[in-house]
Amino acid sequence: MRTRRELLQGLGGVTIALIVSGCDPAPDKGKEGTTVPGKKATEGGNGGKPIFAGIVMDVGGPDDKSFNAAANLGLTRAIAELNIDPKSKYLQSKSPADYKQNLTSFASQGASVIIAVGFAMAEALKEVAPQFPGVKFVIVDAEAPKLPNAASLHFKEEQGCFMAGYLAASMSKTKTIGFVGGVEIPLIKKFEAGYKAGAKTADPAVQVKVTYTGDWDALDKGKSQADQLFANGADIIFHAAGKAGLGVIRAAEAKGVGFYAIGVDQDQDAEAPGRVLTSMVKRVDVAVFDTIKAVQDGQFVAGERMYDITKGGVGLSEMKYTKKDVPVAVMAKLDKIKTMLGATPPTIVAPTTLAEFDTFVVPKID
Amino acid sequence: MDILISILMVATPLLLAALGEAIVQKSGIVNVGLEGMMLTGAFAATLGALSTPGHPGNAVLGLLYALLAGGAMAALFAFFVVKLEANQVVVGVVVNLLALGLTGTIYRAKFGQGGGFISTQILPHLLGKLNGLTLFAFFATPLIWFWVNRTRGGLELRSCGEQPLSAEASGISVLKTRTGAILFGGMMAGLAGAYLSIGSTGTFSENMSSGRGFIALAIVTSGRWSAVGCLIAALVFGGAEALQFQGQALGIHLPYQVFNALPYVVTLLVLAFGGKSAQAPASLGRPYHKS
Repeated sequence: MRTRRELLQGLGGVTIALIVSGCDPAPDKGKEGTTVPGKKATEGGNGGKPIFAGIVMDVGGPDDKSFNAAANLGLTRAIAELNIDPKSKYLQSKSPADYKQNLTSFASQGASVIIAVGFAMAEALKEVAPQFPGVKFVIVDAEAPKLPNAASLHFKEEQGCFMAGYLAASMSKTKTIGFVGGVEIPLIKKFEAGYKAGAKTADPAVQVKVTYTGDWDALDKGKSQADQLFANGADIIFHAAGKAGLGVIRAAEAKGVGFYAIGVDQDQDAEAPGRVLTSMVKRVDVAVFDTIKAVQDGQFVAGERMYDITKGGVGLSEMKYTKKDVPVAVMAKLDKIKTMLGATPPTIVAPTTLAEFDTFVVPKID
Repeated sequence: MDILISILMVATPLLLAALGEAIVQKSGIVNVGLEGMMLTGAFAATLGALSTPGHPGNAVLGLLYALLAGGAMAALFAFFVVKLEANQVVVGVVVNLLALGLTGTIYRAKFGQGGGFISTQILPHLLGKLNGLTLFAFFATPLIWFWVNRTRGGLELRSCGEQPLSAEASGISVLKTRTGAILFGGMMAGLAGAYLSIGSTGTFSENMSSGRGFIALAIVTSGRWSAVGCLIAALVFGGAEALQFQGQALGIHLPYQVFNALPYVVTLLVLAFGGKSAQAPASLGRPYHKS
């Protein structure tokens, strides 16, 4: 009996290890952005002095070739083009336990604006923002607390996904397309709903097969799910699975001509030239740049800001490698759809949930 | 047939890591750093495959790098837990953190941010779609079982995990045996990691092991510390995941959360109801102090 008890204690240790292994006890220098933080805190505000901007990334980090990478691009551009403190940088979170620490760390270093990249930081922001009324807090993809120093950036991803779905269904030879999601959360369900609606609009007979990896990091899972979808008749697969989704691109690359992946968030077309049909681009970089600029100019506005297809906030990539494969008629339809999605009032409303997709009525594109 | 192949493919990295860990635990050591050693192996294999001139490099050389890297991490682990008698769980956690930081930092320094994939050759397929690592894992299972249970070396290994004092009294060096076991475990974890990078995807991304090392730990317990038990557990867990992928692709929606929890639930059940045969080596996790 003693052995078993000890073993259970051992298991307890494993559990602790699991929890601990996710944390970063101190922001480690190797993980920091542009430069090491200066000891002297730059004064915040817009009194002519260059502002210090901080970005708190989620666990994906700047190499996810996606969401966080885009945020970093926006920051880099801001440092290059705006007269902001060149010490502005990002901190990567190793686990949700780091969110609060990273946000607080920037605020106490004298940052004028702190951008939290990722919905998961909403709770942490709610706690930290009221403590630093002089600092502007901005969160991407989630509700910001109702404070004069807090704002949120939202994207109408469903619009870009709708176009991706329309393109995929128009291009599919097998009349079967796939979707590989990461973790099943409402945000990714929104991608799925928009994609399915676009596919249905192009051709109601096209089947959309959906899988979820349940993981943002396991590249091999993304690849084996894509392999399975290809084996089951799909010839184009859209991924919204972070780094795991890069496996989908690898799978399409391995399959070769006739098969495509569709990238997400950033322009991933160059990851496998010719095998990535397009990417559903979400311009987090533009949103981050705009936000820093607004704070710099003293134009910061609290509350919600929406990036949609009209402002170029979401959309398809320029399709540098694949444009030649797409019939002109399909391209023309995509332009038309873009106009209809962006019209006031919109003549196509892309669904944001599967429930909305169920009642979605196929619009006429002409 | 396809489903059988995908079960074997999903099970391979789990089985490789679990076989190594079973030997380590038989010697009386718990290596929680398995996850980190896998990740290091995955990265080293990529570097090795890219080290030969010409695109896309040599995957077989990647295997050698993975062996060395897994072994090096294991040597570090062994130094602390065997030589310095440090707490094994704590050192294991440190290895995991170190591996995550180290691979991430070198990856970023070497390959920069953004840019295209690093793309390596994939290990050649030897039997259908199965590569050498898969075949190795399945052929190694009976050999390891035989060695542990039917040879003098295996008996010595087990005695270090059960009664290290008596083992030492009968002339076995507990410290050497345990160090050897840890090195073997690290190299197997390195190969398991190599399977994820050069064996299956042909690329590397940060934290790509993504918890597989912990599932391998669960497999060792569920498999009751026996190589054959590990094989069965790896096939069950790998099979569950492959079936779930297949199910999803066919449009049968199965919640992946259940499958993610499965290894740990089975482990707890085995511990709770496994009876006498589910007992761990008696000195598992206890540092041995040579007097």
